[in-house]
Amino acid sequence: MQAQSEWIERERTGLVAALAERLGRRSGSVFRSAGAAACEAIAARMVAALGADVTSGKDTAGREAMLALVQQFAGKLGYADLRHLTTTLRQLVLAAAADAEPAERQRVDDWLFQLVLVGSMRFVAQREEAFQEQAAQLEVRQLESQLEELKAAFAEKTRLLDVIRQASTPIAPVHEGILVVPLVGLFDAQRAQLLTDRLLHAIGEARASVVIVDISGVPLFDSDAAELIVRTSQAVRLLGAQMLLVGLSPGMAGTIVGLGFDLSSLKTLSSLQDGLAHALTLRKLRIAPVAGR
Amino acid sequence: MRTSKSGGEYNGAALYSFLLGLGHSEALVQKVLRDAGVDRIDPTRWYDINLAMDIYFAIYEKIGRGALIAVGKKMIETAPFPPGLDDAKSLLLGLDAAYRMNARAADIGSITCEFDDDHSATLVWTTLGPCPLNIGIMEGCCSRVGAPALVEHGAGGCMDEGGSSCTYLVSF
Repeated sequence: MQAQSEWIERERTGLVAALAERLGRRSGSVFRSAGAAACEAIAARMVAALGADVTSGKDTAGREAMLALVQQFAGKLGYADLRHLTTTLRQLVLAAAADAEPAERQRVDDWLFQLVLVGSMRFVAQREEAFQEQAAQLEVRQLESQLEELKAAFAEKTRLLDVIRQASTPIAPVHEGILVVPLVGLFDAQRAQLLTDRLLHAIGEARASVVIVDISGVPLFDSDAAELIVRTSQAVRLLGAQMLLVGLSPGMAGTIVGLGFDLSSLKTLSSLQDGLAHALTLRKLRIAPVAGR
Repeated sequence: MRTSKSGGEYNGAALYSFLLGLGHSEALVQKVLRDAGVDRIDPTRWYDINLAMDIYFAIYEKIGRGALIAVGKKMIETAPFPPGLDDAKSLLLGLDAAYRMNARAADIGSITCEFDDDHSATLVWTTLGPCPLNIGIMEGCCSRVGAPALVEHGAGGCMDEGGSSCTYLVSF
């Protein structure tokens, strides 16, 4: 085997120099941008691998040299670079082995073929990894973008709900010291909190002593809603005012009784008209015809 | 973006075929043209080359690299070519002449092509258009004659990132 590969030893220096020169010559290649010293090292590694494998009768050194090359230029080695390296190496090596025995030339040709296969496989594997990484990054970016859109939509929805709540909880001063709050729509904990905050502020501002809360526009008034109203009423009482609950339908009353909730701490009246009349009484006022009519 | 300082001109027909290549993105085309200050592209007249490049780069910014490559490819696959250009090598070799037929100025750059062997070439572009469009054009040259190509951007810089040229390694 030693005798068979004598031509490699004889041609080694010339092969390395020629391969390095041609690798560095091609414009746009990674070899050229890596510089002359890198091209020299790659050429020396490839020729040494050829010598070792021809001597051993295996492909191990060639495989390792090719893997090292792909790793060395991770992500930068293109198919054209790989093609340039393998075709140039093949041309130079087969020319150098022109005088070798036919079996030896065949062996070298097989080795070069294996080198192309290993290089192509590693190249495709590396591209595949790069594509997968890019696809994963793209998916993350898309998810982040969707999340941002959802956050923006949620913020807008929250803002609109707040506007609706504000608009559906008006507080109207109907007479000196008397406020009317007509509730329309669903009455939940968030709205109860909003009502309490606004009501306490309005009582202080209007110096009100009676607040009439009309729930005839609330579609569902269950024990939860009743509890919220009672709490609001307690807060109102702490400011020295009284809360009257009006608009309780027979159905609602039945439901509350059925649930066993006690509304006795609240003054309840059937209609807004009754509530207003009661409020005027509490203020020691009454509605009287205008004199002379 | 690179510009011509010598007041060059660009063929409306080339720009028109690029916009046709965008196909479905009519609204996008209209917006880009409005931003550039023109209502429509007349394929029979010549336009300021920098305006044409503004349009190319504005569309590149909006549709991205991959889509621009696809547009460049489609544009060449469907463009009329003189008889005789019937293989990848002659089409790639003819790119510089084709570019000069569509752009006229002293500083429009050039396209050089060298073949490494029968199935690979190295092309160096110093033209004014966006890099992905060049890739699409080369892919289109090869695919229109049934030789699907792998076009790789060579090392040594990219014009879209401030480089003086783009080198492409084409395997077909």
